[in-house]
Amino acid sequence: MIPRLSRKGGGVDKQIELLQGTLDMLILKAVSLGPLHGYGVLLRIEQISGGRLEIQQGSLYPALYRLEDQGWIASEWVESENKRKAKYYRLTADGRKRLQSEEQKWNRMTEVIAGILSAKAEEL
Amino acid sequence: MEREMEAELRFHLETRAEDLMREGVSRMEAMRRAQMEFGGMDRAKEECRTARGVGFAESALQDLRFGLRTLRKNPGFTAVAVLTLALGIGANAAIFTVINAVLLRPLAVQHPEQLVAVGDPTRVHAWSDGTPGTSSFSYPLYREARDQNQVFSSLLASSRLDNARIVIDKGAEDVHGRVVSENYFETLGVEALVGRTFVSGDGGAPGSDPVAVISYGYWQKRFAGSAGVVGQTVELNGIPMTIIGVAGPKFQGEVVEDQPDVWAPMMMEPQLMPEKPYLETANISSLLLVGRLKPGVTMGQAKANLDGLVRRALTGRLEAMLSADDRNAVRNKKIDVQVSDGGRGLSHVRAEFGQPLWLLMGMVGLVLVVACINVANLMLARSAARQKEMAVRLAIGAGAGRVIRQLLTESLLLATLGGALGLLLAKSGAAALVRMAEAGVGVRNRLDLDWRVLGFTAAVCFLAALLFGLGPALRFVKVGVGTVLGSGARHSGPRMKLQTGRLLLGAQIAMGVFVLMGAGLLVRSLWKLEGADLGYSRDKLLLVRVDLGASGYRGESLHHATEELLYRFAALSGVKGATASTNGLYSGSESEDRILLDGAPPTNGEKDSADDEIGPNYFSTIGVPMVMGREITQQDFSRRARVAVVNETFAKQYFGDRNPLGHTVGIQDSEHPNTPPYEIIGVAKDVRDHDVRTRAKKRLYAPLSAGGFDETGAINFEIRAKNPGALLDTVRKTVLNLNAGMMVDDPETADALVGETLGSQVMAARLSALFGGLVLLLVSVGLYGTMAYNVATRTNEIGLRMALGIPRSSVLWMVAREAGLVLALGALLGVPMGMAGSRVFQSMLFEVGGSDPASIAGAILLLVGVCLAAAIGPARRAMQVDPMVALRCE
Repeated sequence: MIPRLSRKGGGVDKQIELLQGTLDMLILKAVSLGPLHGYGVLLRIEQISGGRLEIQQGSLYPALYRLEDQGWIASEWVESENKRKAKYYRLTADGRKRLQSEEQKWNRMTEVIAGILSAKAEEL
Repeated sequence: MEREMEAELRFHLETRAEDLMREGVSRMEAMRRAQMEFGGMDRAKEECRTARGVGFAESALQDLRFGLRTLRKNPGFTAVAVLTLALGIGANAAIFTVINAVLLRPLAVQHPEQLVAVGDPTRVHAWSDGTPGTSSFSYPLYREARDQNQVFSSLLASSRLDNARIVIDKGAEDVHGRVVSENYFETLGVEALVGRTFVSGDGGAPGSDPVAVISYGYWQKRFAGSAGVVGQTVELNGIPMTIIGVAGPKFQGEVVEDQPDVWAPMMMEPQLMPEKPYLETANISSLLLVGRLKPGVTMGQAKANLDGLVRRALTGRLEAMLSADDRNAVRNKKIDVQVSDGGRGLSHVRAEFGQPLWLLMGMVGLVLVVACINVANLMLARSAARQKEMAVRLAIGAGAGRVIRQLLTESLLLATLGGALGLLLAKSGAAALVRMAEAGVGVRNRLDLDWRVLGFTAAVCFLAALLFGLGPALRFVKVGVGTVLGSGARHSGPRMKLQTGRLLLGAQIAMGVFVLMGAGLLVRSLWKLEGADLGYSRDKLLLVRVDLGASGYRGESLHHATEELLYRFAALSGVKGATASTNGLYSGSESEDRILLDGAPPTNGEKDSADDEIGPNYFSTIGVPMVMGREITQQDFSRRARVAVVNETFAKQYFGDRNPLGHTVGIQDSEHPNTPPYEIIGVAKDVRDHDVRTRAKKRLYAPLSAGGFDETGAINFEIRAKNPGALLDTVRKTVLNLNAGMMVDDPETADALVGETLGSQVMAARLSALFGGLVLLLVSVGLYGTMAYNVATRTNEIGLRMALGIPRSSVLWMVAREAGLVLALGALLGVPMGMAGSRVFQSMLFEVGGSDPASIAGAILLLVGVCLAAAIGPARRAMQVDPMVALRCE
């Protein structure tokens, strides 16, 4: 079992399990806002989600490697804010297209699912 | 890549820890928490590697590094496995090195694949004097073939230069020389390293161009590689010859087992071998022919062209050179010119050793399989210890394929180490083998570890690694994660292994039976060959060949020299008698003539008979009993009686039940048309005089006389002595005392000479016996290992049984039954295998059948002995198990 710690006071009940397959999209989004190292990706997603979304650290790196292998993100070693070399990821042109199509797909899906969930008996 | 990933993850953990420390957590605690948050580091790394699509080379390198570390950690295991494999692979590489040199390697010439041998490619030292044939060619017939054929762009001829002797600055030395046609180097496409080779302008007429080309080896040895050698004049067989060039360094001539030092143009032959001038006779056939095919011409077309050409030549242009008898013989004979691949050179050794070598290759292949099974057993035994390691690797996300690859990499590593060590063994092993077989200096110098040998060894290593590595690797993965990590595995593991182990051992013993049976058959055949009744008593018989003709004796003087030598030999102390003959025993020379019985050609049976000219008391001296009548004596010689002896086969074929004594037999000889016939005065027992295996031919023995029917000029002397070994030197000196310039071969005992004709048989028997021993060693080591392991893992069970009151003897029985079971399994499989396999080498067996009971019994007894020896240790350990100790362990 991999232990999961809550942090910054976020209550356990407030956390959301990440849906399968959405981590790749979130990473692409995070680095689309500017180059980040792995830990930075983690922080940015948590920051944007207001601490409500927690990502398993162990699964972050395999996802980064996978995206890089597919050519959607690229990496280089740059000096970080704490004067140490870190591996920064940025979005590639292919990655931008991929992010767009993922976003559209996600939006369509949430629309459809929201529509289904909000359905009332009299409307059918 | 790996390092980059480490750095990236470290950066993550440290940055996270720093963040935590900023919140006031202590350093230690921060690091600990950062790691806990991250979770399974190894699993993440493994997933990263998979995600990145790890490069094959990179992961192979990883496996290699890990494999090396594992092998270093288990030095005992590694040493045993590598040594076992080195023996197996080394033996294979050694045999293959010889096979490569003798059977596979092309000549170091341009486009060897275009070359064809014309004539019998195995008769490389043949010299035939008689009716023209095409197994080797006469010079006039070669000239016809060279000029009239439409299939070769070039056709060369070469023959041995007998007794070649070079004198440089008064220093004389015996060398290997060949007399070759002027287009020799051009046909082969061999260029001179220094100077030039022969060109078609050389030797326009007999004796006109006293020039020679020397080999690279001789140049290095005698002239220290000096370029000044060109133009230097040396004396070759008494003739001043100018060296015009040095052949390329790789070129060793067209005969595999020879390594010529010097080549002379064929037009110099009458000067270099004055006793055997052959340029203008069609009766001496001693030339080997090699042609380079024109593009697009097939062997079949070449043969058809040559057949027609030879017939036209012998019945047309060359007919005038032939005697009436030969003309007849040629007309009645089917012309069948042998045309075969010449790219690998001509060789007698290849014909003699080809089959034995392939047989040994097969045997040594089995030795390697046995060795591989031993290593596989070792790996299986180690698998118990490594099961947890593998299970952990599987659990943290390594795919099954990855684990198998890792294990196979370790196997390959072992095989490569074994192979490298094996190659060291192979080089010296192959050289020892060639020395033992006396296969010739040329073969010894062709034993390079070239790309073929290296490729073969690499392939063998790879196959071996698969053979001993794949099984254990698959088992690791099959056992699975759960069973091993749960502790139940302790019992399930060995149980399964027992079955596999038994099967492997059974297979090993089966192969052991097979190899040992083969060795038994070959060794027993050799014994029978060596002890075969040849029809004469060969112990205490000394043979020496003196080439009186080549030493300048002719006609009456040759006859007198023979008589004088016989007299001097007989006078030596320790000599009981001496006689002589033209063809003699195991001399390699043979003659056959058309005969007349009572003045007419024979009506029953062939018109030709083998014959020999013999000295007085030939039969009593070499120890052949007379069946009827008497032998040719000194008195017959003194009065020049026309008497002859025939052998049993001759008598039976031509006279059946009639008494041949008193009849006359004549030699139909157009050179001596008026020689009177011989009266048959005796019938001698058949003698296997030239080959142990073949039955005696019908043969006629006539007295040696001046100007007899065979004028080869070489006489074989047979000397019966109390201790022939001690007389070898004395006999040689006796010959040289008569004439210091006499051409005399080294005297040999008949036993040694017979032994020489069995060269390939001796090699096959000795090596197969060696491989049999190797198999026994491997089987015993394997069996010991497995039994010891089984007893060790069953200590609890044995202890429990003893505690329950089972006597120690039945514990012994338990272990013995185990050994007996695999032995029975192996014998049951191996004996039929051996019997079927012996059919492949039937021609090498002599008076021994494939189901020879002694060989089968011998193989099984040896294995039983070895198994017993291997089982004693473990059995005693089993009996000494202390029930209390064993139970306390539990």
